[in-house]
Amino acid sequence: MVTAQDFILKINTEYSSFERFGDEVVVVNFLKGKYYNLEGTAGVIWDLLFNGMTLSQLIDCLAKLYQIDTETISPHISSFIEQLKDEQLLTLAASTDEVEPEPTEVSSPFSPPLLQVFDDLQDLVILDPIHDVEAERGWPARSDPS
Amino acid sequence: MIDQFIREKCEWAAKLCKQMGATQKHYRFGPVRPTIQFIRDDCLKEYTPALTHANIDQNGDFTIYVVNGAFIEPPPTKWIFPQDTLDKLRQAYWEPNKGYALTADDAQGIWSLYDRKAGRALYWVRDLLTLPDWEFGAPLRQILHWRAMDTGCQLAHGAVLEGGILITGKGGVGKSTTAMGAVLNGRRMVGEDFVLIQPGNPPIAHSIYCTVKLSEHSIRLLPEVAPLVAPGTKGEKRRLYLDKKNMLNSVPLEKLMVVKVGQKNRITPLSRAAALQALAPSTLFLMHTAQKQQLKVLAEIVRLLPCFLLEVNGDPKTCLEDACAGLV
Repeated sequence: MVTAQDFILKINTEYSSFERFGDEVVVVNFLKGKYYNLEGTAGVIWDLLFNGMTLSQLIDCLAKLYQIDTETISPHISSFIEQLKDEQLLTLAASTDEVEPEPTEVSSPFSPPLLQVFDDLQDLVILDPIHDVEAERGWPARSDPS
Repeated sequence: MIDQFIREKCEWAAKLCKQMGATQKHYRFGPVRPTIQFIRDDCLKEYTPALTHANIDQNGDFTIYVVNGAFIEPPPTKWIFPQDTLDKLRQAYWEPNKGYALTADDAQGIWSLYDRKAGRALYWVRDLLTLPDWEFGAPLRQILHWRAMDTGCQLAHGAVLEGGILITGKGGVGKSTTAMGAVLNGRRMVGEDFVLIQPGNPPIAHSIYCTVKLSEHSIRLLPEVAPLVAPGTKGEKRRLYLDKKNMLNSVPLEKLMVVKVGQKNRITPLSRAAALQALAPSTLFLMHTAQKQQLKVLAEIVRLLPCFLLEVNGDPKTCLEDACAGLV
């Protein structure tokens, strides 16, 4: 039986894009009109999820990289993953084949991953209050409310 | 279907402008060279002040038709977007391989259409009188954005001053005031709100608009600009147009500064990640199409330029020069 733990977590590149500068990753979410900063461990997780892996693979990989036991690291990682999901920055795919995690060197010690969220520009992004359009009249006519 | 729609509407606009003897003007914004045809004088009067400094005599290499729908409504057509988008007020479409693009902002009543192959674009507004004030300060920017991308360039939301200083920062933090202060202190301006950036090493900023938008508070700080405010401007910020003598057509970029109000005027190094956060999101969210490509281009520009935090305090006419004096 496939459980939630078996799903591959992968960065959602359909509505987001990112750039890395050393230890920092800047992510822009075009769907939500937000942008984010990820540093240190958060950036490492972002890189690992670019090609996708399950949550348990991610925790194991990070535990190995940072030389910390999985029980200690697991709640921090799970919480961060939930944040990414809430922001629609992750997609889920059913796990079928074994995914080999990409080895990564880490340049700084483990710190609880943090997603810094900036939403000051949300007003610039599409806001779609409902309105009626008569399909037959089409552009640029709106339907007459009367 | 959308491609055909864009083609047909641009063709319709071209015929209409020819029939009605539209007034045309030619412009140069770096490598982007439009000829703009205005069906009616009201459009000419409202949109050209922001572009005057870039007016040239030679024909452009593509044509933008400006139509006021209050007087000229195009022939109706079927809804061209997917049926499940009927309730959406804003749409965007961009097909770079075929050279078609469209943004439809039904909230503001502005449609921009672009047909690269035919060298035509249509800027249709539902009613000039109901447009938001900021549209007159930076008109036609969606179309200029698409043409810029076709020439390998990129629109960016920020101010650029003589000396190659690209200034950016959160809304309301003082970019415009700082930039206008620097102009009053003798620096020429390339742009205050949007500029066109040509990637390279160094990147080059080209002027598009001579508009400056300032709040009432900023105008009180810079009383010399009060007589320059365009009459009838409304909204949170007042609009003024700089004279050609205060404008610079192009400048190689030398540094990027993110503005912030501080305790004193000073410049300190800033991480490139913070610089990109200040520069990119507003540009991307305002342009609606080709956002991933834009982010890449802006990131490359940030990687090339030294990045600084510009803290400002006190007289806006001198804060930039004071801060630069301390920069080694």
